[in-house]
Amino acid sequence: MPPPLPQPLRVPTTLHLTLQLAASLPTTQCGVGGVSASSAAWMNEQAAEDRHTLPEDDDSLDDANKGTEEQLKHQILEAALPFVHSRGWSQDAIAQGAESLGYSSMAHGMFPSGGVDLVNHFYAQCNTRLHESLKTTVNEMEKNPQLKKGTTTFIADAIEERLRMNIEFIDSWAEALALHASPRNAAMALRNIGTLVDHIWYHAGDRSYDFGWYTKRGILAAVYKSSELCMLQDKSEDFQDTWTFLNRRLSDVHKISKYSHDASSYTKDFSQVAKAGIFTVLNIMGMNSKSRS
Amino acid sequence: MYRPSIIHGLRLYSTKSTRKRELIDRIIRVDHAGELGADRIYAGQMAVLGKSSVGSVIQHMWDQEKEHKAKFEELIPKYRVRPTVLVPIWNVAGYVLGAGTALMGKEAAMACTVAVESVIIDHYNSQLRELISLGKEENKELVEIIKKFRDDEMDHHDTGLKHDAELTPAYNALTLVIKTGCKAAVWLSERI
Repeated sequence: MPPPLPQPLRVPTTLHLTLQLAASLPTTQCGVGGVSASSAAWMNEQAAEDRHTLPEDDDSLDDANKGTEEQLKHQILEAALPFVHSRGWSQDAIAQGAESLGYSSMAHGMFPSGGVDLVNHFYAQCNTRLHESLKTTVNEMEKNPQLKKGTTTFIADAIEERLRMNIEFIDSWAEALALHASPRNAAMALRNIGTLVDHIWYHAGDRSYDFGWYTKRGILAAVYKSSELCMLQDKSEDFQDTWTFLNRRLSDVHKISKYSHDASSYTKDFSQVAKAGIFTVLNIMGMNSKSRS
Repeated sequence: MYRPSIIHGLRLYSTKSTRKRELIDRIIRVDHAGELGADRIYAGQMAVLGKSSVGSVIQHMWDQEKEHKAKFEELIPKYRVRPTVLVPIWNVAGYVLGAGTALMGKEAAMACTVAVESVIIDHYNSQLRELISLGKEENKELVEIIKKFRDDEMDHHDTGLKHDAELTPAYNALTLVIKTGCKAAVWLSERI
């Protein structure tokens, strides 16, 4: 029984156009199965849409459509991840992922930035996993005070955990970082690492609301980035060299903050000594009006 | 937790939840900057006029601003908001504005208060409108807080007028300059 002909669309969103186009193109590998799966998905979209009123009247229609579109993109990227080993972080991997779900490989057109969308998806997934894991760790530390870690240890463990999530794709991670380095993608890359260090600091107990918010996160981002780069060329057993490198960087940071603290107390003392000197000179010259009787 | 995990760190579109997140982020950031500025302005004014006849009036308003600032400092980590980069600048600029206007006289200090508070009141009102349009029940906490603070700022505005703000020489010019500066500060703090 051939699938029924598509009805004319009332609201041609990108998703619908893509899938309709995909359905009408001859598919090479999936054949009839791929076409009917994509038009079945399209029919579901249409049915969901029919339940709403006219698009102009209903603002949530936009959000509902976008929600479904978001979920579809999420599914396709998730399915594309296993293909990264063979195809790299590219549109090819996304196309393979779409096909494995039964959609046309043309669905990669939903991701105009290409491979970097896959990288960002993976990065965001890892950030979310880290966030959940750190939340659990903090809850456990609250229940069992003897499990309590110092801040530096907590941060070191958090970075190690996050870097270990990259091990799965370590062979192609250099390509991923190169994609991130391109100026078009740099903003998203910064946002990714910003979210990451924000999570780590928040769960490590940082509740600051002044400029220290930025300095803390900036320093941690530098430590994380350098460790990530170190990991790219690390050939040691279980990446031991990287963890050693990480601990050295964190102890450097510790030293610097200690020295700056000491330095600021030196400057405070120095300013008091200078003040005393100035008042002595003024007294000698008889110009210290406060002590004139 | 206010981040939906599907679009966490990956904003492909501005759906309603990301728009709400961005709005709350912006609101808390700029309100914190505003209260910080107000705290420093009153500190500057007290440094000059602390021992004068309006000292107690300014002290009372300053105490309320300190409460406001403390509240936003609590909300920043709670809603995982990024504070504005310009915190050190507003620290200095606020003190300079407060001390500068106070040196021009009691009436000028009151005029500064009136100008700043009127910008803040309009600002809080438009934030309340945005929050309520996004959903009064969901944002109840923030709406309640901003409402109360707006009422306090209206009190300050009226107090300033009561204490001869309008008798300042060049009142209109002074108010215009201060209002423009405040609006620029608000615009910047919302973004960076």
